[in-house]
Amino acid sequence: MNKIDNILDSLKGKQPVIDCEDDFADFIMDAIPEREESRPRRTPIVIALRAVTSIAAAIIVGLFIFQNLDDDVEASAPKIIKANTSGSTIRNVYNHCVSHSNTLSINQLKAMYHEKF
Amino acid sequence: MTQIDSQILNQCISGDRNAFRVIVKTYQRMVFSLTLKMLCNEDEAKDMVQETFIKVWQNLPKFDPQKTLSTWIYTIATRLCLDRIKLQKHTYQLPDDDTALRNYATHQDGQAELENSEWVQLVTTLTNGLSPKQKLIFTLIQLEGLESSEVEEITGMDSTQVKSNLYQARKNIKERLTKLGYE
Repeated sequence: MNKIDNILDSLKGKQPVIDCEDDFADFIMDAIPEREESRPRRTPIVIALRAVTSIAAAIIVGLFIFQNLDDDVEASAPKIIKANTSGSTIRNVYNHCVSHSNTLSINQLKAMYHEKF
Repeated sequence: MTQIDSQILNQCISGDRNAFRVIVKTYQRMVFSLTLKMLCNEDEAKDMVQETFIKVWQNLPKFDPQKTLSTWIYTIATRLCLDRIKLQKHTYQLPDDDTALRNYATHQDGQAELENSEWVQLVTTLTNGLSPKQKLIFTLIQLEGLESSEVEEITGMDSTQVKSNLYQARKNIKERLTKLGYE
C-alpha cells in the first residue's frame, strides 16, 4: 500500500521534460508576431499647447456669441433709445412704448435699460 | 526561479525578438508544466504555451517591473487554461486503470522522470472530478510547488478561497484514491 500523502509530496515541484528545448522555442517564436511600431509619445509641451489652444478657441467662440447677442438687443430697439434721452426710469420707458403702440415686452425693456442707462 | 534582468526586458519591449527568445527559453518548461497538468493533453498544452508567450509578447510593455515576471507569466497561462477548459467543457473520463500512478508509486525514489503521457495519465487520475478552480489551485500548490501567497497573486483569490479549494481538492483526491486501494 502506498501513502497518498507521500505520493503527492513526491510530485511537488516536478516538471515534465521538453524533449528538445531549442525546437520548442522555435515553435513558440514562429508564432510571435512583429510588434507594431508604437506611436510617437506625446510630449508634455504638445499636450500643454493643445490645452492652451483649446481654451483660447473656446474663449473666442464665447466672445463671438456674446457680441452677437449684444448687437441683437441694440438692433431691436432703436426707437426706445431715442425715447429715453431725458433720463427716465424703466416704468416711464414702458409707458412711452405703450403710448406709441410699441409692442416690446417688459423683459426686453429691462434688458435695454441695463444696457443703456 | 531564474530572473530575467531588466536590460533584456527593455530590449523585448523595444521589439527585440532575440531578447524575447531568452525569456521563452527560460520560462517555456515552467509554462508547459502548468498547461500539461491543467489540460491533460500534450498537443493542447504545447499550443497553450505558444498562446501564452504571444500574450506575454503583446503585453510586455504593460508589465510592471516591480512584479515578478514568472508570476505574471503564470497569471496569463492560468487564465488561458481556465478559458480553454470552460470553452471546451472538458469532461475527463475516469481512466480504466491507474497504471501510471501505481507505477510511479511503486518506484518512488524521488528521481523517476515521467514521460509526458505518464504525466497526463497520472494527473488525470488525480484530478478527475475536480472543479476547474480546485484543479488550478491543486496544480499550482501541490504539483508546481508554489507558495500560497504567489497563488493568491496569480489567481486573484484571497487566502481563504485558496485554502478552501486546496482542502476540497485534496479531500476529493484522497477519497478516490482510497477506493483504488491507496491509503
